[in-house]
Amino acid sequence: MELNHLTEDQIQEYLDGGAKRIEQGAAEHLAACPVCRAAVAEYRALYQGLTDDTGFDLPPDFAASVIRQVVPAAQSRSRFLLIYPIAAALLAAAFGLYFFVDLAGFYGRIIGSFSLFAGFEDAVVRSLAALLDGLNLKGNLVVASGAILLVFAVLERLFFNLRRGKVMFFA
Amino acid sequence: MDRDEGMDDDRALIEKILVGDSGAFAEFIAQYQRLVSHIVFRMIDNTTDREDICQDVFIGLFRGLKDFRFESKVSTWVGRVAYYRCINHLEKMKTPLFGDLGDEDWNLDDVAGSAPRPDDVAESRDVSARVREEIGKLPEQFRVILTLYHLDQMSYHEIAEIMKLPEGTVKSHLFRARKLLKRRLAARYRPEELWN
Repeated sequence: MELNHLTEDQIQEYLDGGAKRIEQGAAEHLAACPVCRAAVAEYRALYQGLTDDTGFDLPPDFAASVIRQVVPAAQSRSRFLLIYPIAAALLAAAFGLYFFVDLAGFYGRIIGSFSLFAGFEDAVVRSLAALLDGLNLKGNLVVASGAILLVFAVLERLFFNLRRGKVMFFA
Repeated sequence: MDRDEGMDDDRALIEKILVGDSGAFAEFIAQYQRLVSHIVFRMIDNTTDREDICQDVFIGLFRGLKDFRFESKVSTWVGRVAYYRCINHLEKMKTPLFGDLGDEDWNLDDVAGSAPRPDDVAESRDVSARVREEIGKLPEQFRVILTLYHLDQMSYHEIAEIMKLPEGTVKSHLFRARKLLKRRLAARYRPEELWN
C-alpha cells in the first residue's frame, strides 16, 4: 500500500468526480487506508451538510409583490388604450348627432338647465350658452372630435414611450 | 430534459412575458427565485435587506428580458444579475470583499475561525445548521461558490460565468472554502458532533 495519504484536494477531487479524478495509485491507497477513508467520510458529511442547507425561504407572496411593482405600468397602458374605443364611440355619436338631431339650441338648453341649480353661475352659464348657440357647431363638431382623438393618440404614445425609456414594461 | 430543450422552454417563457403575460412572469419568478435567494441570502447578512434585494433582482431581470440574447443559459444570466446586485449593495455598505484579502498571500489560518465556544455548540443541532453558521463567516465569494456548486448543482463553468472568474479560480476557491469550513467546524465541535 502506498504510504502517502491523500491530500485534502485529492479527497475533494474524488468526491466531486469519483475515482477517475484521482491518480490510480491514490485510488488504490484510498481503498486500503482506513485513515484516508475516515477523512473521505468527514468530507462526505461536510458535503451532505452543504447540500442539505436550508433557510432561503422568501415570503409566499414574493412573486405577487414583484409583479405588483412591474405590472401597474402595463395596466396603466391598458387604460390608455381604452382611449381609442372611447374616442371612436364619441366620434360615432358626433356623427349621429350631426345627421339625425337638430342641434339648434341643444347645447344652450342643456347648459341653461344647470342654471336652475347654480344661481351664482347663472349669468356666466347663460353667457356661455348664448355663445355656443351662436357658433355653427354642426360644421365644427366632426372636425373637433377628430382633433381631440388625434391629440389623445399623440399624448398616449408620447407618454408611454417616455415611461418605456425608463422601465421596460409589457410591450 | 436536455440543454436545448430547456433553452427552448426558457425562450418560450420569456416571449410570453414580453407580450405582457404576467402569469408567465410569475412562472419565471417561481423557477428562479430559489437561485436568486441562494445568492442573495448567502451574500447579504442583513435580513431586512434580503427580500428587497431579491425584488430588485427580479425587477432588473424583467427590465433586461428584452435584451437577453440567449448567449448563455437563463440561469447563468439570472445568477449573474443577482450576484452583481449583491456586490453593488456590499460596495455601498463598504463591506470588504474576498478580493481585498489578496489571493496569493491568503492563508487558511489567517481567516480561520474562533476557538470553540461551548454555548454555541449547544445551540447547533445538526451538521447543516453548524455548516450554515460557519458559512456565514466565510468571505462572500466563497459562500456563493459553495452555494452554487452544492445547492444549485452548477458546474465550474457556469459559476465562472456568473462571477466572471476563470474556471481554475472557481475550483481553487471551492476547494479552499471547503477546507476552511472543515477546519473551522473541527475547531469548534467534537468529531462525534459533526461526522457521525
